[in-house]
Amino acid sequence: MGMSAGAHREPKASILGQLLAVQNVLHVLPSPEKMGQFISQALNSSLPECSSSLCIRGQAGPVGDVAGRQCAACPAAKERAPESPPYDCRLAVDDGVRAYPLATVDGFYGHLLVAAEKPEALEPYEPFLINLANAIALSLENKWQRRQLELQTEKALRESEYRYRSLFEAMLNGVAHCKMVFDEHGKPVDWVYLDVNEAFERITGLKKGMVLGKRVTEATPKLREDAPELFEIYGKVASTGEKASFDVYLDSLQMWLSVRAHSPKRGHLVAVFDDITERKRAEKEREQLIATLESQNSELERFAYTVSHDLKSPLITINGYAGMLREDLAEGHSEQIQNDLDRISTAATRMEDLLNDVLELSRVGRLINPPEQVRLEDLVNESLELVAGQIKRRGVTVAVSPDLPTLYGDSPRLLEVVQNLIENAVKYMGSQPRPRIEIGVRSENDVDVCYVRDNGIGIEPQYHDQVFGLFNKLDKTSEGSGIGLAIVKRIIDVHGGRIWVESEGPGKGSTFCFTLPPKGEAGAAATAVLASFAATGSRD
Amino acid sequence: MCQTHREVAMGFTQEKFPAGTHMCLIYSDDTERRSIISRFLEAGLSSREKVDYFADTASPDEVRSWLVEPGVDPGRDGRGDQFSVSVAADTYCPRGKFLPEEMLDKLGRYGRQCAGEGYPSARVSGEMSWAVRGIPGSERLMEYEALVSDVLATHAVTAVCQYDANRFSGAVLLDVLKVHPMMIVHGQIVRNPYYMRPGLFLKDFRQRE
Repeated sequence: MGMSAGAHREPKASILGQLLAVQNVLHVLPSPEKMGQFISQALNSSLPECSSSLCIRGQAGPVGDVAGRQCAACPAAKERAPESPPYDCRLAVDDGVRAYPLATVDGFYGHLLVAAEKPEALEPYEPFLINLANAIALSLENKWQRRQLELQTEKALRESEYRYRSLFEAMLNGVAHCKMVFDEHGKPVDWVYLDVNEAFERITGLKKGMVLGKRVTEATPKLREDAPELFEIYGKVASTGEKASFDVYLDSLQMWLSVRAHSPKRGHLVAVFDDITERKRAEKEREQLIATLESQNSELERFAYTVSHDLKSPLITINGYAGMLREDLAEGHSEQIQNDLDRISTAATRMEDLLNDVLELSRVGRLINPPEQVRLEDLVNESLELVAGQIKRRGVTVAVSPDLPTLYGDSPRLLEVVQNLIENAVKYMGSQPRPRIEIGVRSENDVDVCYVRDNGIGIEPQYHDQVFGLFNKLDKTSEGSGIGLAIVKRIIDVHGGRIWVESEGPGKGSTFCFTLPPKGEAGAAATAVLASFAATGSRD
Repeated sequence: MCQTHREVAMGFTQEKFPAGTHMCLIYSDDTERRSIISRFLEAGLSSREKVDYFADTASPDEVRSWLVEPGVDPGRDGRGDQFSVSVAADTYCPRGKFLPEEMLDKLGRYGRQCAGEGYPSARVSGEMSWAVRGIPGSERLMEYEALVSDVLATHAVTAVCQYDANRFSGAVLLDVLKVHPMMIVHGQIVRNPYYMRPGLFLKDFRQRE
C-alpha cells in the first residue's frame, strides 16, 4: 500500500507529455464547449481514476458532465474581474472533486472540475493541473478578446460598407468593378463583373443578376466587335494602374459613353461612365449647322461682292446717260434725249430683274409649302407650257420619257427646278442646228436619278461645280443673272437631295441630274435644312 | 517489409522528416490551415514527388488556386500529372460507403504505382470533414487512421490528415491524436504523446463499442 502510494506521488512522464499536448491543442479549439469535451476526454484518458468537467462562466452548466457533479463555485463566478489573482487557486469543492479556477489577471471564466476516486492519485499532477487551468483561462481570454476585436471590426466594416454602398448606389454615373482576364501572353482578353451599381443597370439596360460574376464576352458578346480598343485600354489600366478617360460608341447599345477608368488594385478595374449620346448628337448637329453656316457665309460674301458689282453696272449706265441727258437737254439735242431715256430705262429694268432674282433666292430657304406626292410628268408638262415660247423660238425638240417617277416635296419649288433646268437647256443650245432636250429617269443603286439632257454647248469638266454658284455665268454674253442654277441647287438641297451636271466638254451637250430622297427621309432632311435656313433668315 | 526512407521537406517547417510520416493537423483557422497545406503541397511538387489532394470543403479549383499564388502553377511545366485534386468523399467512399480495408488497399496500390512511375515518394493530404456527414462506415474512420500509419511508412507516402475543430467533437479530436504518430502544432511537427500503437488503440476502440 505504501509502495503504491509512493508510486502515485511520482508523476509519470508520459502523462505529463499528454497533458502538455492538451495545452498545445487548446488554442485551436474554437469554443468552450469543444474545449470541455476535449479536456474531459484527455484527463479521463491520461488519469483513468479521474473524471473531469469544465464549468465555463455564462454557460448553463458544466460543459463536460462529470459523474453528475455540479460546480458549486460557478454561480459566484459569473462576474468578470476577480478580487484575487489566480495564484494557489486550488479549491476543494468536496472530498471527491477538486475545482481549479479558470482565471487570468483580467477575468474569471469558471472552473475545471476534476473528480478522483482516490484524491491522492491527483497529487503528483497538482501543479500541472493548475497550469492547465491557467492555460485554459488564457485561451478563453484570448478567444474572448479576439471575439471582441472581431465584433468591433465587423461593426466598423459594416459601417464602412454601408457608407460605400450608399455612395456607390446613389451615384448617377454607372459604375462597374471588374477583374481583368489576360491570356498566357499577358494580352487582355476579357473581364469579369464583380460589382455594378443601379446606374449601370439604368444606363446599359443590363440587370445586375445578368452580369455579376460573368465575363463580359458572355454578358455582352457584341462588345468585342463594337469596341475592341476597350480591352486594350482596360488591360493597360488594370496592369499599370494608369488612369484613362475616353468617349466610346457602343453599337450594340446604340450609345455614346464617356468613361473614366482606374485600377483600385492590380488586375482590377473600376469604370465610371455616363451616357453622353444626347450630347454627342447635339455636337454633331452643331457641327453640321456650323458647316452649313460657313457654306452660306461664303455664299453670302460672294453674293455681296457680285451683287454690288452687278448692280453697279446698270447704275453706272444710268448715271452716265443721266449726265448725257443733262447735256443733251442743255444743248437741245432732242433726238438724243429719247435714246438716253431708253438706255436709262433698260438699265433700270435690268436692275429690277437682278433685285427680283436676289429676292427669289433669299426666299427659297425660308418659305415652304407642305410636302406632297407630285408626279414629275406633271411638273415637266407644266414647265414645258411655261417655256413654250422659248422652245418654239429656238426650234427645240423635246423628248419626255414615259416612266417618270413620283417625287415627294414642295411642289411649286420642284416646278421651279424643272422649269429652270429646261430654260437653262434652251438657253445654252448655242449654234446647235438640231437642238434637242431629253427629260427622263435612270436608276443608280436603287435610286431614281432624274435628268434634263441637252445637245447644246456643253461645259468643261473643271466648271461642273461652278455652274451652281451664285452669278457664275460661264457664258457672260448669255441672258439672265446667273442665279437660276443656284436657286435650283438650293431647292434640291432643302429637300435633302443632290444635283450635279454631266458633260464631256464644249459642244458635247450637258445632262443635269438630280435625286430626291423618298418620303420619310425627305421630311426629316427638309425640316433640318429648313430650320438652318430659318436661323440664317432670322440673322439677316 | 523493412525500408529505409529518405527524409523529405515539409515546406512549412525547416526540419525534414522521413517520407511516409503520418501527421494530423487539427485547425480552426482556415487561413493558417491553407498556409500550412499549400506549402506542404508545394514542397512535394518542388521535390518531384507525386502529390494528391482530397478536397471536401474547398473546391478542386480553389485548391489549385492556393498553389498558383505562391508561384507554383500545377497546370504548367508538365506538372499536370504530378498533381491532382479529387473529391474526398469519392476517394474515401467510392460506392457511398467507407470501408477501411478497401481504402488501405487502395493506398498501398497508389504507393506502388507512384514508385513504378518513378516518383521518389508521394504525399497526400485529405480534408476529413466528409466523415461528419453520416456516410455509412464513417464511424470506422479511426480504425483506418490507426492502421494506415504502417501502409504510409511502407510505401513512402507522407500524409497530412486535416481535422477541422469546428466540425469534429472534442472527444473525436482526442481519438485523432491517438492514431497519428505526429501532429502539427503552431506550424511545427511534434511527436504526439497521445499516440497509441494500432493494436492497443483498436482494442480500446472496439471495447468502447
